[in-house]
Amino acid sequence: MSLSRRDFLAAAGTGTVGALLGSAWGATQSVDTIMQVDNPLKSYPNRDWEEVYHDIYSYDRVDWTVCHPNCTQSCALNFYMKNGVPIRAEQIYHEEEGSPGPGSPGGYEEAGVSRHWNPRGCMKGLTLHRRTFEPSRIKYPMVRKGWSPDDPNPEGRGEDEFERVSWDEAIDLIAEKMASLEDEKRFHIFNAIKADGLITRHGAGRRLASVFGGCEWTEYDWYADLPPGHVITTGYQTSDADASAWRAADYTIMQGKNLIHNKLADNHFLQETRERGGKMVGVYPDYSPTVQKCDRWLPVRPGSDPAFALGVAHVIIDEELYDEAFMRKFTTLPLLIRQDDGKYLRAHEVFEDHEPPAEDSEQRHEENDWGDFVALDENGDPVPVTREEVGEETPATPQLEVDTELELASGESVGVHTDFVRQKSNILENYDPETVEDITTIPADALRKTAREFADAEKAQWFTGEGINHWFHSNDSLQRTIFFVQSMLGNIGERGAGYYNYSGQYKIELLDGYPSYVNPDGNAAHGMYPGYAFAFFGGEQLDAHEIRGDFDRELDLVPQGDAEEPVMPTNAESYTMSKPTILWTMNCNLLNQTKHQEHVIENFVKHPDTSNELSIVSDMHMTYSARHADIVLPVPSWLECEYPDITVGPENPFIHMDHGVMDPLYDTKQDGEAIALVAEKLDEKIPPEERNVDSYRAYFDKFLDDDEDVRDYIQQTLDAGMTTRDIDVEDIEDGPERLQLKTYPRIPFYSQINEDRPFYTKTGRMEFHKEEDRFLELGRADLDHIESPEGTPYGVNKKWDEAKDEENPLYHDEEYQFYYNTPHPKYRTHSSWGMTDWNLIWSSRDFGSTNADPEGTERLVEDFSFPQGEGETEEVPPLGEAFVEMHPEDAADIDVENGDYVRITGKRGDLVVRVMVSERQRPRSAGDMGQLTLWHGWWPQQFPDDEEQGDGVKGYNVTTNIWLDPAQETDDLVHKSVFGDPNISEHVEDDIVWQGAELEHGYEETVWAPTGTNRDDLVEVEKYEEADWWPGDARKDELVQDYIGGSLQGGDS
Amino acid sequence: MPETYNPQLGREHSYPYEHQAEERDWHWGMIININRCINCNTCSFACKSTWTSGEGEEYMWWMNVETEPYGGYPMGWDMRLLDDLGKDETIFEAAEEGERVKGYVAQKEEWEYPALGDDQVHGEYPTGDVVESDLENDEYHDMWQFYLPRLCNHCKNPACLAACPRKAIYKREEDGIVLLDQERCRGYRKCVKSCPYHKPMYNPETGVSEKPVGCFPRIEEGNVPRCVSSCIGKTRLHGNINRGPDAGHPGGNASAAAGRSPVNYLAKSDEKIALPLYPQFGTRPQVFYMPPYHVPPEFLTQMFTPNTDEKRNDWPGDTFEESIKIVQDRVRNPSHHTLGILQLFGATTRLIETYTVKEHRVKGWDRKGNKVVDMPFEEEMEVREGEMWTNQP
Repeated sequence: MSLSRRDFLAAAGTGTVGALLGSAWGATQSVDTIMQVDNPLKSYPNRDWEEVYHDIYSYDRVDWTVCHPNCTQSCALNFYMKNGVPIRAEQIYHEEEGSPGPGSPGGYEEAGVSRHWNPRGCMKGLTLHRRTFEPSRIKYPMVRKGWSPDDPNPEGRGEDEFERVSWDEAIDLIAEKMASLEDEKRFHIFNAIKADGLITRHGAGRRLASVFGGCEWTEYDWYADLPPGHVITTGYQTSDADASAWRAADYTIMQGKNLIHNKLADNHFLQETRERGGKMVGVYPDYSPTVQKCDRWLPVRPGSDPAFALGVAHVIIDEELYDEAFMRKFTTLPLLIRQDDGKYLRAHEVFEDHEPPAEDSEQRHEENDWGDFVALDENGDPVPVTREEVGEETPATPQLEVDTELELASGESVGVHTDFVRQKSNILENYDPETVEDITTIPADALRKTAREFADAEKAQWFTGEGINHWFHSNDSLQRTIFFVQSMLGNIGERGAGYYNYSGQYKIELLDGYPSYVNPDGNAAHGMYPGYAFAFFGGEQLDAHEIRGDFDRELDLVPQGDAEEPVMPTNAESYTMSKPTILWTMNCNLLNQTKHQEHVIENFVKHPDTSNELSIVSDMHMTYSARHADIVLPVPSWLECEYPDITVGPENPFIHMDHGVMDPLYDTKQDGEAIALVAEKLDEKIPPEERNVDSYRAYFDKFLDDDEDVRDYIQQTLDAGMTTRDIDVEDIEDGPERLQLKTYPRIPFYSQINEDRPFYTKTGRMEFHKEEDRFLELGRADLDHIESPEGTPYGVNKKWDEAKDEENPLYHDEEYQFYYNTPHPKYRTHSSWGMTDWNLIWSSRDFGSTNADPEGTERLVEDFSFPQGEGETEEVPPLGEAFVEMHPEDAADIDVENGDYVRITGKRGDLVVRVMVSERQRPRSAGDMGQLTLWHGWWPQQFPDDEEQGDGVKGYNVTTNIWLDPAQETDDLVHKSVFGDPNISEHVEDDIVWQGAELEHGYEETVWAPTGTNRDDLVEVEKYEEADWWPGDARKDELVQDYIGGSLQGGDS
Repeated sequence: MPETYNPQLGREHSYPYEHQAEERDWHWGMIININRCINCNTCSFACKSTWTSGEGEEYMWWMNVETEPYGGYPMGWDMRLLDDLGKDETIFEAAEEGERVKGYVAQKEEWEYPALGDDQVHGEYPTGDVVESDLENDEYHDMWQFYLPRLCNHCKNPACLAACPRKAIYKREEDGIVLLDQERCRGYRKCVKSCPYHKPMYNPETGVSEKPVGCFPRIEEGNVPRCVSSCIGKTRLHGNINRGPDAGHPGGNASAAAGRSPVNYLAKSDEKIALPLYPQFGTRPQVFYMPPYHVPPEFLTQMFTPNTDEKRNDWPGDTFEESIKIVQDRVRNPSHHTLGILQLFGATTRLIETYTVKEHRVKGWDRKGNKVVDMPFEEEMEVREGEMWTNQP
């Protein structure tokens, strides 16, 4: 079946009042005047006409699938079909007759949870069908006219027109280029979202990279979703619970996370804590929408968040509100640290007969033996503490407060103190609530009150999110300090208590059989560390000390190496670097979402010396990234796909499998099929002896052979994992299922706290002091607040003591006094749904107009995405425009009113955008930086051109930055790998793919890598132009003050 | 013009039509817990994708969520009408000569921005201070916003019905849903002008007006409206607002609980926790809101009470501001029974006719007396036995 957008509009509108009455207008005229109505409040004589609405409501059949964008939630939805077209969607618990499997009768109850989980699926899922039919869809494979295999001509990217090619031609071009590579590592797969599209979509790309010997990247590290403080403290990627656990909390601190807008589906569990007596406190620089739900809002200076948590720790220590037993059992706080070199004291140093670990650090990692540790028992005698002796097995009752000289086995005497003494003395000295008020602007008494209440709560939880991760030091010291607070209070490992982050779709871990598919027969793609793309492939001679955040410290780093084979910092051998010749991006609008966008476009994309030779983008829509590709491959929407695929998420316990509900509209192929066709071609082009495996095709034959079924790949994956081993594909075809984990709801570290299993660190405990050389060299081995490398009025990159008396020249002299906040939007998921009409209208808030011509949006898409020769189409206003929110005071300072245009300039680029004045933003008059909020994910064509100094690159990311943190470039950091629990890997059966897994160290994609901390920059803002039209503004109504005060209609004011 | 007793106001006022002698056994009604609302507008999209995706309906959002105090679809709809009305004056009493209802026609541009003011807040940035609410000490957020879901109220004194010169709008006998006869309407737009909630809308393509239909094709099958079933915030409960404590077993089924419907309990019992939107207009709206407890009561008194000096109805407290404060406290600290009813929100798409709350379990039955919900307040925590299980697989 082939349906056009016009057909959809007609079909979706079929049976609407408009269509029916339009055609029946004459008829209703002719039957008029016969009916007499007496009292319509009591009765109405002829109600046959009501059939009109029954017709509108009616449908032919119902099918279901899963909406799973990178909001990480995954929601099953029923789609109501009429004439082969989905006319609307509804959450699966609907019990209407005709609703298929998962909807009957209990929705998610059928997956083995209670009805508390119903309903799931937000407004975006409800417009999936409109997104499927919207005008930016890519309709067939295309090749950029300026590109040829031998002369890639990257300067033309983003400007050249495309020409249609057949799938055969496109596949052949790709395979030919791959076959011509001298080094397979030059083939790179980039995909976002690690935990969905795993088998038949972009996951197939990773499988190809593995067997081919290429590299794979993810946006997860690059976009600062990764919360390294979690790994530093616990060795675990990110600790988070099923959303249903939130409800059990007595107290919640919500710091820098707008949870009510970025976790929509299961948000009610959080709101429900308050009905059950729970209290909620928000810490934000602005009146985030989540603040309306909070009992108390503590307004914080942006970027000063670590100091807040240190202040809370101060109150808990100072007032002795902590739980000593918990600290002894589960943390490094009782372990002794040598004062001379900052290393944890080892048992063999104290006890003569104690076996030392290997000398060589790499060997220690390989043997998983870093020595045993030492504490002082209640008599003051040293006792060895092994990695396994945690929880109830902790020897003796070690003292928390030790600061003494200790004689070693060698006869030497050394000063030692416990981790607790170390943290305590620093915090008591530097982070009393009054000092913290100076740093954060949070009133000291409010901090004290909050800390006491938090400590007093039986179960208390703390959330942070991307807004925090994107600040250079917050993603490390804030996160570590929150764990410190939570472990002092025993708030780990039980329902309703914990520290959560929920940024990114990283929980592929929960589908633990996945390596069997993506890394078949021991083949694994190189995990490419994307941050280096900036330092090396950018071409620009970047100042290592600036961009890398290496603040003039003596580190043995060699950032500017050979672009082909860059030299890595010492002790970072695990970090793979390889310049891509072919970069194939799937399931990610890489260039729209990338920070430091101008640099990326100019150097990574368009520079003849430093860009790649073939950029392939597979997407549903003509995104900014697709527009800059050499080969564009169209993929089906979730409604159209031919092959099912599976997905899991970090805040729900479900595994979902989607499948299409309608025939594809266009000449699309699912990524898995395109990959399989390439693999088949590779076998033709590469002789067997030169292949990395016997046959590339053989790894994808279930896509290609008629008698094979791709669902077998899914089943094999399910069979290889503990969480899914009892689940059959047939089960998830009928609806979501619940994963099999230790607990439901999933509580992070449940076994650590309740079963005395070690944390995934060298010590087996939550580590606050870090002994790895890199942390020691950087002076970041302990919990501290350090000012931002750019986003501060004070001395940059310094602890408060020094920073407070200094001025950041960028702020004071150049007057870059705003920080630039790009939070997750609500009506889009990142840039997805960016051109879907209803979502666009609502995303645009005051500037989203229902009266605008929908063709305005269509033309915006066409002019940018599918240019046809010279003829520019006539300008028509679109349904919505991008805007930046700015406090009215700050807007007035530059003579800007609601709707006017401003230019925002940062060190890295500038953009023009409309202003929406907004009282919820932090004004500069609050004492430091003003806040500009530009919801992220706008498409570049939704911004106006800068007529005065346009440089061709526009979008919300031109002023953002990527900072690389050398603290996160070390092989020495020990952690659990994505898949498999080393604590029990001997206890699972052979057919579990992670049987025998051990602790890992160093780089691992989505676990341990430098994360681009990309909010951390300053901008200035100036008036660009007065608007030529303004939207309505209720605030300008003279009645509004009376209305707000409640005094209209003679009420009391 | 006949007089009618309006229990929301506690007094009589004029209304153009006689009411039935007795209340209907079954009347459409809804509870919305504003404190749970996250402004995702899933309800709005659910409604629009079901009912108004045709030509001429582009601007129509029968269901919308607006952010108070700056949002409004159409813009400023409530403050304008409040300003036009005298104290203790309904829209029927305020009608001008030759009209039955006081109202105004919102212009095209006032309808143009459904997301106007979305997520915006009112108040001054608390430099050097915090924003805090503490009901026991009469403290509310001095910087505030809240989300107000807005839809047709299927009023017991519908203004649209009163104003229609062709008598093309009627109240259904069986469920109280107010419908606009699409075949009889001639597009005079009196309903558009008279509805104080601005939910009838004119379709310029067809030349007739349309109004929300209460999802009657779903109600007829025993299912809740789309804005209710789609609400991922679990803010809503729908049902028979007229089913009081004396009503019998639904469907005559003795195994089903008798008595009140859960919506009736929340809106009408001694533990009243949900209030109508602008009852002073006089239309007896049948959507009841659990008010936001952080928001200053003065504003809420204007929005959710008759807002008169004299308190004539049976609401708690001696003044309407007191009523608001009492209800805010009940919302913040719900009783065990209310907490039980709150678990029914979003648990099923079946219309829950009756219910029980016993200990930590809540049950619900539909109109036929079939049990459709049976769930605990909280799920049991499950722990798998055996060394091979982990939460970090």
